[in-house]
Amino acid sequence: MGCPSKVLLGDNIVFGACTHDPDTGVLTDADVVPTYRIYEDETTAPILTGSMAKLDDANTTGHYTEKIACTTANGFEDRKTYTIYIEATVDSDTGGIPYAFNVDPYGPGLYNFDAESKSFNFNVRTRAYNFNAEPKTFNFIAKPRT
Amino acid sequence: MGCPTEVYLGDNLVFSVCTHDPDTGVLTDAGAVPTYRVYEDETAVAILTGNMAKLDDANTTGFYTELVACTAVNGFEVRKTYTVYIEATVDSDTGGISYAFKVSP
Repeated sequence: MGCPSKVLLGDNIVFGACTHDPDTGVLTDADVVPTYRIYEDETTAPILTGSMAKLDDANTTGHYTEKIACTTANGFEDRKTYTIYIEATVDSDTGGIPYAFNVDPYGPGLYNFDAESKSFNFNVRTRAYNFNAEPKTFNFIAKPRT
Repeated sequence: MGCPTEVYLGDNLVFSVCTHDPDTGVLTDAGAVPTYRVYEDETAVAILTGNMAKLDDANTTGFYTELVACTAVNGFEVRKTYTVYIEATVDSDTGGISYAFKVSP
């Protein structure tokens, strides 16, 4: 699938498409650059629309991508599903594909220990961690990234 | 793929399809709205079934979506895999696609 399934609010996401001639099944450049429309849940009005662009045209065929900023300014919200509707026309035949992704306030579940500040930094969905290291006990509360 | 691969229990999830005429490969509205069935793991009885709906019909072709509430009331459980089976008929030819996602706590 040419789209990640999850993105952290505020991060960028890139989706891609490879266009084929439906008459032959052969990878073929589109007649014009594909267009896209991005919908939040099932709201009829898209929050973003635009055109994709060729990527590495010298070494690829029919390969188009688009990068979008999944920011609140662009209308994205935590824990919503966003559906991308892409249309492309090849040899005068129009095809389409949908992608979907979620915006996640908790990120991919990474954590680290910062030795300099002697702090643990969690970026996980789990609500709380208890780390017992004798003779000390540490209690961690995981919060969404801000 | 027109479906996220992960959802938190209690959240909504939207899946989607674009229907094509298999004779021409051209994006085409289905003869009727596509139907869907949602299965938990490999349990043969679907936990949810229904019909999808067109979205933004004025600006799209053959574009159908459905929002489901992934709640315990609807039968969803954490750490299970849910498979969405979708059927659509275009120009009297029936096609299908399946998506899968997991529910996280």
